[in-house]
Amino acid sequence: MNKRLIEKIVDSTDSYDSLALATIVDAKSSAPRDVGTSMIIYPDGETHGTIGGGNQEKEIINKAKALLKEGQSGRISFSLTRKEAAKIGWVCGGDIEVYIENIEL
Amino acid sequence: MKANFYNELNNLTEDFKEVFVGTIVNTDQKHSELKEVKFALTKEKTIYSSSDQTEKINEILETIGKDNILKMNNPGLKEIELNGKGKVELYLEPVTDNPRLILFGAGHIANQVSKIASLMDFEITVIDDREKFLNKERFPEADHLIVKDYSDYLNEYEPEKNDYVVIITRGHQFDYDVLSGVIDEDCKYVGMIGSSKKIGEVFDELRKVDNASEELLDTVYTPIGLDIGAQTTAEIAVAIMGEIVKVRRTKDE
Repeated sequence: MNKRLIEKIVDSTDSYDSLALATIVDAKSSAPRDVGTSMIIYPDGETHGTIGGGNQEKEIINKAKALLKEGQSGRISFSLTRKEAAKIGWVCGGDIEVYIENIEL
Repeated sequence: MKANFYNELNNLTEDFKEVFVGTIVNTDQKHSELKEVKFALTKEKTIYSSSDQTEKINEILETIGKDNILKMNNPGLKEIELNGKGKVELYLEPVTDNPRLILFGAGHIANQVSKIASLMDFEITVIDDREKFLNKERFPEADHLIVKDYSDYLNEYEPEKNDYVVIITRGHQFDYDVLSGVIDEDCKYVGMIGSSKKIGEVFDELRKVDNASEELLDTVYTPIGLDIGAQTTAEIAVAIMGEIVKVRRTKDE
């Protein structure tokens, strides 16, 4: 996790009551460069950072918003072919696990 | 998760260079109280998101071995058996900082290098003693513009092992001054531009004045940049940044 992301979380207390931190925690393939990529999702749908864009990111954002409403953390996983992964800028296909952490500010 | 943990984590990253964060992302039924618990660890100190769970977390840390965590380079998921009494899934990650790109010299090539580097996640610093070259109009994307004599800047410069130093000053004497100041530092990359004649002269001075060993001189990336037949300043900048990406992504820690 990047230092600047930690600072961003800390700085968000002024504007929001909660946020979700989505992180790719696992990618089952030979080149796990994507693991550790993360983004922030706020309850109003605003985001900071990206984990690749595309439909997968939209799904992550929607899941994060739902989790924020419930005050829960959760997980979401994707099965992507190499081609699908390349389209959204992920290095590898295969099964990708995203952990979404609910942070109360 | 409470923001308070992130406040503490933020302070920890200010005080310590190497910080690792662990998150329990899954548990079996027996250990559901550990779910979502986080900790952060340095060689000297550990912080916990939940004071009730410190004992259990310490048990997990012992199972993995604190030294193994402190050695890790890449984030990843680990399944941990708790003395045969069940399982938790732990996500471990190092806290990283953006690499720093330090450009000595604000000429035409520096200008293009800065532009290309800004497309990546480098924190860009440019140093030159000429204000008419070093200004926001010419380097809108750079993070720090430092109008100063190189030698003055070198006195205050604190090298980090994630630093990429590019020496592209306007003259051989300046190149020598800068290279002499950074060559034995623990930077990831030190590259210097110049013809083989100029580089030869700078190296000779380093041998004579600084007693630099051939081994040390070999660590300098020169001629700078990947060999792609670059001719224009923009192409040279691409060659330099290409080399830096190569070092960043393939050179071992």
